[in-house]
Amino acid sequence: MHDVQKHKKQISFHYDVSNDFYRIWLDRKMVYSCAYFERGDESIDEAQLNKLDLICRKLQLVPGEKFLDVGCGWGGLIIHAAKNYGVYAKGITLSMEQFDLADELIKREGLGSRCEVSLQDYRELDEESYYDKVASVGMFEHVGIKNLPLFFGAVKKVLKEKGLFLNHGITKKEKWQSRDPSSEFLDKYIFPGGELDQLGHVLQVMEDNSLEILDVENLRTHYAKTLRLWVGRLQRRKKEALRFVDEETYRKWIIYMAASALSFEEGNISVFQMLGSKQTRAGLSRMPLTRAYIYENEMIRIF
Amino acid sequence: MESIELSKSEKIQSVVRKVCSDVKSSFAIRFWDGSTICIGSRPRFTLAFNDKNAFRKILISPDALTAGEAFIKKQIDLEGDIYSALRIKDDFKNLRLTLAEKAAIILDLWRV
Repeated sequence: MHDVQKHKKQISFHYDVSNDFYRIWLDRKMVYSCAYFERGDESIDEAQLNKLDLICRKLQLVPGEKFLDVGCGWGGLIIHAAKNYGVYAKGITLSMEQFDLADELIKREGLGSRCEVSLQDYRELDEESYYDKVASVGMFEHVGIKNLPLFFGAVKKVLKEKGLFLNHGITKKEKWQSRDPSSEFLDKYIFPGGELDQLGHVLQVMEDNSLEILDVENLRTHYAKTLRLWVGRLQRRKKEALRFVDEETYRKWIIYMAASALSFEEGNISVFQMLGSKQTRAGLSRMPLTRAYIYENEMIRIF
Repeated sequence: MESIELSKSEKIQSVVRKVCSDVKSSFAIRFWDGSTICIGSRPRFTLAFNDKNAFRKILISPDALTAGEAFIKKQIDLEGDIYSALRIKDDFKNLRLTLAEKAAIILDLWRV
């Protein structure tokens, strides 16, 4: 239990700052992870919607399926999936602020019967072979490298056989050094307990937990663009932001996001979508022959 | 009194110029006493040291932790393009002061 409490505190440190603060510079749906640009000049609102829908298409969501989002933030993905793909969606988060707002948004959308959020740690998931699809977006960076087997083990447990899992998150080109000054800065001021692993090792731990790797996509350019948009929005709305947080908090976010944009541009860090399928028994996965499914049936969007 | 003030600024400036002699970025530095110097010919941003101790700390260990800490605690300000400002880390990556040089800087600044 001690570990869960510690993890909760670490998450709270970053995500319970103030929903009003995040609302100022995030997109309308408050999606706090790498957006997806199809043309390159999209607004942050459009690019985040692109990303939510891309994840749903990669997971091949079908009405009636049970879908879990581990580390669901303010509920953007579960709401999108329940609303547009007819799935039963559940999201878990450790942030009280995220939980409260996600819960409110679900009710406001009238999705109460097929969408829910729960204040819960991934280690507390107890549904066995229950979910058809699982996503985790920008969450495994918080888990700690030594806990990755626990995390992917938990995903394996709750997924049905041949169920799909999309793991979206940041990786590092070189091995994580906790004594490195920039790692120390991140740990002390921005993401306590956070660690970035190398892609190869992440995939290896997924494989060790019966998650067959079906597809891997590099979104590095997309995160550099996302961060530059966030930094610009926050800088332009500094005065407004200071109504909700102090100057020190404002500066923390500016410096970490701008430095991260440069790190993505330089290639020191990257971000990937890793699609896996739970495969504990012999046999083929349900993977289509080509990647066409990702680009077909794009949601019709109204702006 | 005036001449002492002048020599203080001059002392700091000579330390900074020594440290920045191989720096490729062009920027301005503003000190806690208001004096300003230019590194290179076309400054893209201003690095303002609001605090003498932070300045000393950064000179001794110009790394992300020290600089980041000083920034969030308002001991330094970055004015202008933040990305250009952050890129000076590349210039300082190659900065390796010897122990003797560090000691000299500390002593120089001590007297300021």
